[in-house]
Amino acid sequence: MKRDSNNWTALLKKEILISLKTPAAYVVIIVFLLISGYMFADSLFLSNVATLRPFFSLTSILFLFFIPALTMRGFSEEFRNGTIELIVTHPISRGKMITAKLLSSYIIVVASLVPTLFYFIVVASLGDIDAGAAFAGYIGLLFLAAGYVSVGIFASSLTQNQVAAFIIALFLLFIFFILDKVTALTTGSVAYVLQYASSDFHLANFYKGVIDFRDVVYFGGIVFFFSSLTAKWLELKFK
Amino acid sequence: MSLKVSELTKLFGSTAAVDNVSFEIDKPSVVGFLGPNGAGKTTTMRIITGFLAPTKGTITIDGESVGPDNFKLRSKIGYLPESNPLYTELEVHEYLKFAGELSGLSAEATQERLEYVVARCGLKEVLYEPIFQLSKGYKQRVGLAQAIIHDPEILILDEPTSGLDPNQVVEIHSLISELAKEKFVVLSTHILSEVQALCNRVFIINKGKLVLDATSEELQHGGTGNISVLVRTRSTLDEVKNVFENALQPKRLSLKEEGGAISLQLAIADSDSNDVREKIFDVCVSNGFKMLGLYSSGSDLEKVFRQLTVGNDETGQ
Repeated sequence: MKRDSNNWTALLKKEILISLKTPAAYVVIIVFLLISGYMFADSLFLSNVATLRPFFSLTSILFLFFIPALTMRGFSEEFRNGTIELIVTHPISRGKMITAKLLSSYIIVVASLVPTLFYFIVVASLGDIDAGAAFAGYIGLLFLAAGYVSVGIFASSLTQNQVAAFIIALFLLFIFFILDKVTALTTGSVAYVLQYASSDFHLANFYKGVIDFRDVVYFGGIVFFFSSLTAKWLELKFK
Repeated sequence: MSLKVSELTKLFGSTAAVDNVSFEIDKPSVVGFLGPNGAGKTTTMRIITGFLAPTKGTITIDGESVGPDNFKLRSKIGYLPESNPLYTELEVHEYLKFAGELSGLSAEATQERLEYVVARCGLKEVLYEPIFQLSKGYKQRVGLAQAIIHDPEILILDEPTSGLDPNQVVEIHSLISELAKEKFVVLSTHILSEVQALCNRVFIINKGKLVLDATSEELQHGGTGNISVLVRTRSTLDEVKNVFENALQPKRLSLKEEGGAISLQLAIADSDSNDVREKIFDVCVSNGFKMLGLYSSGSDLEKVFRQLTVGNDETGQ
């Protein structure tokens, strides 16, 4: 019988199928779109400038809650239901298992960003928008989402309680978010390190329309670091 | 095909959930793991399937070592965990396709096997129903279908009939017997009649230790069952012990003084001779032991089970 080494896509399909079948994901996405839509419309007429920048910075804050809410199911539900025993005893490596988990949540985050392209159309029709900056801003959000999803999946691997997974992810993400806000309290190289470690600092470049290699490396590094941490943790768990 | 478990030990903290267990299975059969709750059955099965890593010891399938990192070998194993975990949101066909593809089958091969397992496990009428709507019996069949969809050579079933009604139990039994014609089936249970109805070989496990490894014939004919002998002699306990050990090579032997006589408990693996009592008699005569009593209690699985597991305080895993 033909053996297929791309069996991790079965896990990816399963994740997405279950997300589509459970109301929780829809509720989270709708709440996200409602809040971002309201805030977008609110700020649009106040600032009177044809830019998506307020929407981007608002979305990066909403992601602090939105992404943990989508990823909290990740591994914790598998632990609670005991289905982790099924997955682990199938011929799939931990790396592929984690990839499937990351990608399935990521696909849903990206899908929920698609309707926000409507804001771009609205702003573009009202004034002369800098399309390059808007494009870079979206790329920035995509990188940010990837980093946040990897943190969320890591948090979900720590506990079988979804609420606990949500709170752990929120806590970790908040640290990344807050780092460059406390640089005023420090000086010199400490301030520099804190700033470099902060997600907002790297996002700012994207919002300006600059896609810098260093920023890409930063978000890639977060994904790599937290995925490796998840893999190590899962390995220890079944020892 | 062979499944070999050698000197398997699993510690949780300082408690040994599995303690130096060894056995080998080399022909298609149904092997029953019997033991009180918490005896170490589930832990042993979890190590065989690669879910848990052993603290010590090895498991090999066809000479290849099973471990948490040997992912390829897992497609040879089909596993139904104790609690029968399922993705209840999915419909039966979606779940079985997922299980097939995750085992490494291509989409076409999965479809082919899906038709087979659906027919074999009687799932046709619930194929498009979400799993959460199914009765416990159907859920168990879905779990079993999941375990066999990739046509594994070894089937590990942890309490496959728990919670089923008698009719469903009979159905699952006939399915397992059918599968065992060409596969190794290892199942755990604490239902003694299930072992008698289904298994060719019985392992009794207690407090992590394998205390009995017998074929069902041996159990029925008293070959390895407990034999009690009461003898009077001037020899010491150790001398009597040596005599019996050399003459019969018993699998288990325990002796104690009892009112001026020596009481022995023996278990002997000897399927050639239907009754080892003759041999014991000969040993006694040739060594000048005066036999006061000889009693074989081998044929009753329940008695053997009680004897081997009595005093179990239900701790451990």
